[in-house]
Amino acid sequence: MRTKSSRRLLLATVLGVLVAAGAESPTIAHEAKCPVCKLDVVQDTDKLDNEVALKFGRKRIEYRCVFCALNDAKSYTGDLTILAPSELKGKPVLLSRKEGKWSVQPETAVFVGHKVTHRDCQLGYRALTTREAFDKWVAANADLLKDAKPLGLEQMLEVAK
Amino acid sequence: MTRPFWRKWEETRKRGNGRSGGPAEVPISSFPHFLISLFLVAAAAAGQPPRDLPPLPEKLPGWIRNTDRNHIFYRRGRYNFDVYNVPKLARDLNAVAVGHAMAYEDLVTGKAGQLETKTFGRIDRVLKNPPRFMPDEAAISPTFGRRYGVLEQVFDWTHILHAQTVDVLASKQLTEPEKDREIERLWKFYFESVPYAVTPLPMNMEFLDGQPYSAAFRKKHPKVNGLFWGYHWLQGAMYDMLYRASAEDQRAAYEVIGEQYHKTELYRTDRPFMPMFAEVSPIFAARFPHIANAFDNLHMLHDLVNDILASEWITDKQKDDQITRAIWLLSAAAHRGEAPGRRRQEAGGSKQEGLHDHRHFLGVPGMGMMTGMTPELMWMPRMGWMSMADCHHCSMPLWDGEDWWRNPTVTAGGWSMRVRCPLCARDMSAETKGRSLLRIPTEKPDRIVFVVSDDAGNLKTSTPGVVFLENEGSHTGCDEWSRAFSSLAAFAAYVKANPKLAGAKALSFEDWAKREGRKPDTYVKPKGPSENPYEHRGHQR
Repeated sequence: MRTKSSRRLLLATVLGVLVAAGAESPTIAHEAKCPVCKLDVVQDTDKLDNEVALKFGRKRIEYRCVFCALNDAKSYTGDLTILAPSELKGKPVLLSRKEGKWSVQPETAVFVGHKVTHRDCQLGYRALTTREAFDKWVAANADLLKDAKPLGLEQMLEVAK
Repeated sequence: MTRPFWRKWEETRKRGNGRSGGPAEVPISSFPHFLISLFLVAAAAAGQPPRDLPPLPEKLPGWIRNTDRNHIFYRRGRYNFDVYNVPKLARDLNAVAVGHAMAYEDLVTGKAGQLETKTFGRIDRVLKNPPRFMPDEAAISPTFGRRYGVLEQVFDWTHILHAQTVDVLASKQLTEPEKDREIERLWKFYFESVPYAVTPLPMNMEFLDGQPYSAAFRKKHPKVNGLFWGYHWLQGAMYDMLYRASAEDQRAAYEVIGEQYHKTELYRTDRPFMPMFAEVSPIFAARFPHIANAFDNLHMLHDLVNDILASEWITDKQKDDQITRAIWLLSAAAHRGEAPGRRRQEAGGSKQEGLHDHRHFLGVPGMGMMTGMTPELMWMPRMGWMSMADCHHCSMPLWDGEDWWRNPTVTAGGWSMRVRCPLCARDMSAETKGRSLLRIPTEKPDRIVFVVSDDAGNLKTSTPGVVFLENEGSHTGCDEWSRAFSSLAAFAAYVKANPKLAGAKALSFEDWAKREGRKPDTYVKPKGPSENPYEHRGHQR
């Protein structure tokens, strides 16, 4: 059995090795690759949530954008919920599929579904709680989204087919 | 702390292997250099750029040119053919043997052009309808056997080690400690009784996969290469599934592993490199690193041979010589006196330096260095960079030394990862799409709780009476506050011995399976020296 001091020494060594190898700072988030686009899932920050999560039974799978999560929802049979980060920290838009029918909460939610390079997908495919929030989001990312139109749930489902 | 198994094995190896007489050395003084010159001129005239082929070593052991027919068979054992205790696995392994033999026979009988179509179709039919009994590969690939007799004997010899170690693990008669001892005996028999043993040292895969002909096969025959790598995936993944598992757990686990093999692994053509044993069976590889290395090296020998045979710019004579060289590169004889973890420096910085590079990843003595990676960080497709010495969920150091067996594993989506505690295993499984298999040690090294997760993350186990401790805190201490026990009494004894856990409640499997931990506070995402070390090579050079 290892002692406490040897464990601390090991931890220090490993953290040292990782830092030396160019590791990023420790985070509280668990970072993964998106199962659809295989790119890193963009992590939440103090001010903005970015991780999209699909909840299916006891599974909680993270995606890089709401497009990837909706697209992959086809591969699950049964009820599921997608937690799509919005413009409000800690208040995701919830997309639920129950007995094959989709619904969204809050009902005022609109989506950006603008074709962008997938490296920017968390900006180009985004859920927002209101139309006003959509306008602000597009204005803040005008270089990428200048022609973006607000989409309802049905339109977003069509985009992510 | 006792000596690591790796060191014990290495000391045993250094003491000598009892092979009588040693290899006869045959000078290759009459090598027909003029033939190479003629070929290079002809190739240049035909518009193909001539490439330098590495020469045969100066001296080679006599057995490497043996043309006698040597039939090799199993060592006697009451466990022989116990793989049939897991019937689906046994039949899938029978089909693997047919697939290998069919592809090799077509490759050397002028049918390489139909490998991706007719041959693939024939093999796929066998894989979907596996034979009940193991076929004699020599009967399926007679031409290949006649032409490359020694190579076939090298393959067969290590395949027998594969088969018998699996028989031992699937035995219902042997206890777990008896199985460990028998596997070591089989290794000794493999390593000492004939000269065909493949080296048990970790090899530099970047060097071996960097030959002038490397990647030719996967470029030309991606579907059949996918099948070969799918076989190698199964031949690795089955070990952790069988190791220290009851017969019931083995069969349940193969439902998950077999589905992954048949639905995905056989048909993948996007792998940048062959599956490595320790990637898919990290626990068995930690216990028997020499065997893990030998199997990886055997699989690399398959790749070298495939690439040589698929390279049209190489003449038949050169193919024979390059295959002889490939056998030598991977043979135990070529690395006598060398040690795991070390690099032998060649005088004058020879190009062969990579051949004697036996470094391995930190915490994984059963896996050699790979393209563009460092001993501290490994890169895996779809997973990115990771430290193999740390938990893949919380980044804390994994158990090592005499506690190597305490690491749980999560197997899902074609990979198998070691984690530090049961909570890390459960939550990592919940964050992973699809079915998964969790392997959770208790306080006893030979009592492992096998847990199967369905697509929706519902967990099931066949182990009765298992009890969990989960007093969640910082993951700096998860090896203490998250544990599994074979009984309530074992739980109580542990809590009593650790006063700071006083008052901790024992969780039944059902209660434990419903929980969800917080995201680990200690998690660090490692950043490697490049985005993807295989990117510049693509999947095919």
